[in-house]
Amino acid sequence: MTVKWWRVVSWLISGLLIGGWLWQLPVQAKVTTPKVLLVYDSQNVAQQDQRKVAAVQRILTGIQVRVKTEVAADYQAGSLRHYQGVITMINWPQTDLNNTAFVRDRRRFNGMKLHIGPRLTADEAAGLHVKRANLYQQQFTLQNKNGHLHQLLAFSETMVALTHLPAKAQTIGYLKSQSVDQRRYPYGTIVGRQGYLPYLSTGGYSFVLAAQTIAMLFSQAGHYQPLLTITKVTPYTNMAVLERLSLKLYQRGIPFAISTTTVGNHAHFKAFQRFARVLRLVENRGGVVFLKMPAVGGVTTSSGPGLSTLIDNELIQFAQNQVYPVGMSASAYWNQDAIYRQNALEKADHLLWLPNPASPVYAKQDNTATTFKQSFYGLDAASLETVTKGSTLGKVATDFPIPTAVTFTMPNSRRSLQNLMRRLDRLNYRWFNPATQLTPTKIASGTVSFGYQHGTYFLNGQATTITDTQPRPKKLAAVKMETTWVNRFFKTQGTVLLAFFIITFIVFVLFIVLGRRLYLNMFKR
Amino acid sequence: MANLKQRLGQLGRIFQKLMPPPLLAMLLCAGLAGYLIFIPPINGLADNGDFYRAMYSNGIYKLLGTHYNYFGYVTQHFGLMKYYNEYRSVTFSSQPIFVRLAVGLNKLFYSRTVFDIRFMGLVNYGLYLGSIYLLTDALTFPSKRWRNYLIAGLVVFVFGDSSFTLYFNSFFAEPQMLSMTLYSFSSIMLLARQRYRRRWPLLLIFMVSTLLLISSKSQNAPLALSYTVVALGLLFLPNFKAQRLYLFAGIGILLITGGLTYTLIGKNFTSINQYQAFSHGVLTQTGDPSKAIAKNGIDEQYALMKDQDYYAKQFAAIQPPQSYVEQNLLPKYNFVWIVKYYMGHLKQFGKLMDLAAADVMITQTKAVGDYTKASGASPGQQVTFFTGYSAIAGAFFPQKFAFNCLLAVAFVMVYAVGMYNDLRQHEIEGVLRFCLVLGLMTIFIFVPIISIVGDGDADLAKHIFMVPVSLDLTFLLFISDILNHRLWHAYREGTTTE
Repeated sequence: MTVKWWRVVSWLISGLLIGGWLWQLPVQAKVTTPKVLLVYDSQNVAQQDQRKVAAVQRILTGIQVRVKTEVAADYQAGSLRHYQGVITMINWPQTDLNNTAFVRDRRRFNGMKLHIGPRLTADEAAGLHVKRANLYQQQFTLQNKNGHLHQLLAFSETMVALTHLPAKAQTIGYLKSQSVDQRRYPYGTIVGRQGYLPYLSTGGYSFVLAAQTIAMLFSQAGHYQPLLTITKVTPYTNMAVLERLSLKLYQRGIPFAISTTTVGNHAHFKAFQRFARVLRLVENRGGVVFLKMPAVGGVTTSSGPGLSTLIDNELIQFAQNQVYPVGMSASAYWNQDAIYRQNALEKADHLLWLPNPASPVYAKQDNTATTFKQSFYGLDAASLETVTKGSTLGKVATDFPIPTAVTFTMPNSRRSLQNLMRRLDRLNYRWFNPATQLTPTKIASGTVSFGYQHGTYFLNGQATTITDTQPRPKKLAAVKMETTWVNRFFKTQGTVLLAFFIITFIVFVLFIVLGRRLYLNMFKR
Repeated sequence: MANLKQRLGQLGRIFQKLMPPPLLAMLLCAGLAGYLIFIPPINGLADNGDFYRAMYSNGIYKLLGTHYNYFGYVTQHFGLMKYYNEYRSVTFSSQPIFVRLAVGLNKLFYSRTVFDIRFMGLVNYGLYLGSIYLLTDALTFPSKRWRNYLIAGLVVFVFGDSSFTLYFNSFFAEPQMLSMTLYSFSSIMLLARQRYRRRWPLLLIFMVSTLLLISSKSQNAPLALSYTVVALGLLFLPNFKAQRLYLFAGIGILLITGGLTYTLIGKNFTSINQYQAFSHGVLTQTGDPSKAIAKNGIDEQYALMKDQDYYAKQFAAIQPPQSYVEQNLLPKYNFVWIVKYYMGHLKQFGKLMDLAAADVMITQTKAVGDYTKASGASPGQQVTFFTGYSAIAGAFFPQKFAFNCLLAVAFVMVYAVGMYNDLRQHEIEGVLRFCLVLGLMTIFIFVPIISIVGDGDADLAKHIFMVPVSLDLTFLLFISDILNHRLWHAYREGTTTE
């Protein structure tokens, strides 16, 4: 009892005061993530280079960088000052980037700068403190520092390489010429706040190094194990194969994720319940579910509420069947569309980004991507299986600089399942385990919220377990058509008329028969 | 008093001479339809997404820089391509003939760069007015009684209805189908009633209009069979033996055209129809179809495709045009599979047929708007001007397929009596008329069945467009025959006036 009573009281009071002050502190609006302007010259659809633009967008979202994408021709003087970084992307080297306002603003810009592709200007080279070397008609091997990882690249017609690098330059990967002199040029280069990539590829070792360069430039590079993901699962998938796939992965101790679409109605169909049962099995066999955003048909700017309701319905139906998605998966372009972001994506905080379809359909394109708590870059497993062109990346199994999901398409027969398992065996990765490595997830939608934390699922904040059996078989009341008295009248009138007609018909036939008999009887005497 | 009566009679005769019923019907229809489609703000039908089939291959495109409105509003102005047009027609169809004619008129009188939909309306309008004249003439000839004006009024009431004329300002094929059906019908009736001394112009009209009708849309291909029945009646024309060969050749051409129209449907359309026959037919009007389709050899998971469109309206769990459905679902079933399925599920099929019957007399396409945006109407707003007939028929016509079958049998029986009587009297009118009614009734009964089996309940109201037209024609024929006392036998000048 050495402590005086008033001291206790004063602690209490000060504690209360501080607590109250903390309580009143405004919740920080949002962790400010850097904002970057991605300026490209052309989508160059003929070469399918729009995929490269989408890849850069996905990488940036993956490293928590908000990106606004703009074609160079649309750039307006002075707008660069709203950004912390600028990325110039050249997809069509045959034409000039003839927006002088952009070139001037970029020269004066003090933030992060990155140039991807050919046509590195003298200005940019000066900023990097390097010299440019134009390389024509050559083939290169892309390799890491000590050369034990290497990949032979396709023949390149023209490329701008950097020479005379300053001492402080960081180099990510090397391009080794196949010519006699076997010179080595840097692939990714970072000098201070400025970076350079001579080209970009959406897969393979080039992609890994490009992602590393971009992540390093924004000080976000890390070491991530890949998440094994089965994509293109739908309610129409061959359920027997999906069940077997999950069993095989479980037996091998491989944690995995599936990206599946679903339907927002017909939950009482046997088919849906079978679908849900298989998904529950997936969850119980070390798999997690990402809800894939639906395929898009004829949408307009007013499709938002409909989309929101659809996603809510899908999630509620899942919840009723104990299927708890940990996040959402979508094509990259969904993040470039205001309607899709606000009415679907933002319900979740974990996103898995997949490549764009051949012709994306936007509802309200604004090219202003947002970031999420965690974003995975969906990388097709095939791009890691380049046996013929150098090291099999999957075998060497380096980790990834950004959160990455290595994707396999859902097989639809036993044979293609075996094929998938064989391919999987050739990959040497230690796979990302969602149960232990995934940051706590949350999806909030309509009346339900899902969470996933250290292998435990939460439904509306309550920890919950997933049973193997159908949860409480619900008897759904038959849907009754709403009938007004007018409809009832017309329905009855139809039946009455039909009855009248049938009776008349019978009488008619009867009369004919009778009449004929009478007529014939007249002659039978 | 007697003098006044005489004067009135004289005036009446002059009126009948100046304004015979066919002319009156035509003028009334001209006024009604003209008001609707030409006078701004114009009315028509908005694009439901099908217009492109008639537009691009004929050099018409959506004007750039304007917001093109689907479903909600009618678009009045389109662009005309100036240079080489790389688009090819996606289907085998007679529709481009009419669209090209409209484009030609537009270029001649209005503009070489902007297309006004009213020129499409004008082409449809011209065709339509001619057919109304011929139809009224066919129904009233040769009697010269005042009640023929009642018949003319009925023709206007039925076929002047805005639910038909709204189609004119659109790139749908329906207005041409309507006019061609009327031409085809009238030419047979005029032949039966021996309106003109020369037969060949009417035979030509019948042949051409029927061919254009059958080839205007792929779904019209089965009509070739119905019109073969109609054409067989022509065998009974007097002094026709020498021309029989031509007739058989004509029937052959009809059947070949029908076959071509059917087989030249693009692969895309076959997939759409096949898919929707499943998702909008087989899977509907039943509780949970999972088990039923699993029993018939299709993975039960596909039950979840119930009510899905081939091209998703907004969002879908899967896009059918993608290879997964093409490879895993569509090869599993075909037309025969669907027919077999329905044979095993007659109750479900009956419900679907009643659904079709409920749509039979609803001719106004409610899915798309009838006004332009400039008119200030709300999106999707419907015209109510002169829609009395379609409103009444749509509301009161029984929604039972069984009723339709009985009605068809009744009509056929009534006209069979007429044929029997005429055959005994060596008249031909009843014979041709019977074949015509029989043909129309096969359309009335079989088109809904083919629609359900072939494409489910998707776009049902549009697919059965020919059904109400056939019934309306039979109905008008029936009423006019009663009014002119020739239901049971050919028209006889002396006997009919009691």
